[in-house]
Amino acid sequence: MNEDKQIKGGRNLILLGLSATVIAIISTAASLQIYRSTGDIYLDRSRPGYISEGEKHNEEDNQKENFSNEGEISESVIDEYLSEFDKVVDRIEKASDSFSSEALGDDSLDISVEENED
Amino acid sequence: MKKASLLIAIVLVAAAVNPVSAKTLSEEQMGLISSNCSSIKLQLKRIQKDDARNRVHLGAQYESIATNLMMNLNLRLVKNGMASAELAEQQTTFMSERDRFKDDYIGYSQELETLISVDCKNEPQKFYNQLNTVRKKRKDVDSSMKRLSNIVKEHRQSLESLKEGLKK
Repeated sequence: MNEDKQIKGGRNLILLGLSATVIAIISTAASLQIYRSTGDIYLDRSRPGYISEGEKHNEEDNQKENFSNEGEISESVIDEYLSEFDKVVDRIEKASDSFSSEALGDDSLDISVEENED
Repeated sequence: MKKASLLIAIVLVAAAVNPVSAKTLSEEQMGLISSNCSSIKLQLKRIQKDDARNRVHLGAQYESIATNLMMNLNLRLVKNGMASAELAEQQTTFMSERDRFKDDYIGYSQELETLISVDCKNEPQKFYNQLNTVRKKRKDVDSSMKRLSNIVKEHRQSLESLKEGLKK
C-alpha cells in the first residue's frame, strides 16, 4: 500500500516537473515572438553586440541639455534656450546622412554592372 | 475586349500590391550577386549595426528636443501667461513625427533582417527584389528625419520671432 503511494507520488512529481517545463518553454516562446513582432527587438539598446557599453555612456553624457520650466521669459532666457537647442541640433545635423540611400546602392554593395551602349 | 480589361486589371492590382518595381537582373548581375554573396552579407550586417547605433543616437537627440526643451519651454510660457499656439503645435507635430521615425525604423529593420536571411548565392533575383524593398523603407526613415529637421528649423524661426517681440 505504502509502496503504491510512493510510486504514485513519484509519478506526480515527474508530471509536475514536465508541465512546469512545458509552460516555461511556451511562455518564453510567446514572449520572444511578441518582442520580435512589436519591433522592440530593433529598438533594444541592450541587444547583444549592437551598441557597446562605451557608446552607451557617451550617449548618456550627450543628454545634458535641459531648460527649466520655471522662471520668467525674457530675451536672455530665449537666448539661453536657443544655445541649448542649437547644441542638440548640431548633433542631429552631423548625423543627417545616417540613413542615406548610398549605403545600399549597387556600387556600395559591389553589384553594379556597367551597361554597355551599342 | 473582356480579356484585355481583365489583363489590365490584373496588372494594376499587381502594381498596387507590390509598389516596388521588380527589376529583372541580367545574367552578369546575378552572377555578381552569387559570387559576392558572403561579402555582401557581411556588409549588410555592418550596415545593420551602424543603423542601430545611429537610431539610438538620433532617438536620444529627438527625445532631448521634445521633452527637455520644447515641452519645458511651452510650460514656462504658459506659466508666464504667454502660451503660444504655434510653439505648442510644433511640439505636438515634432512628437508625432518622432514616433513615425521610430515606426519607420522598425519597418526598415524588419525588411533588412529578411534581406540578410535571403540566400543570395542561390536566389540572386529574390535577393535583389528584397534589396529594393529595403531601399524604399530606408528612404522612408530618411524622409522622416528630414521632416523632423524641418520642424526644428520652423521652431527656431518661431523663437527668433518671439525674441523680437520681447525686445519691443
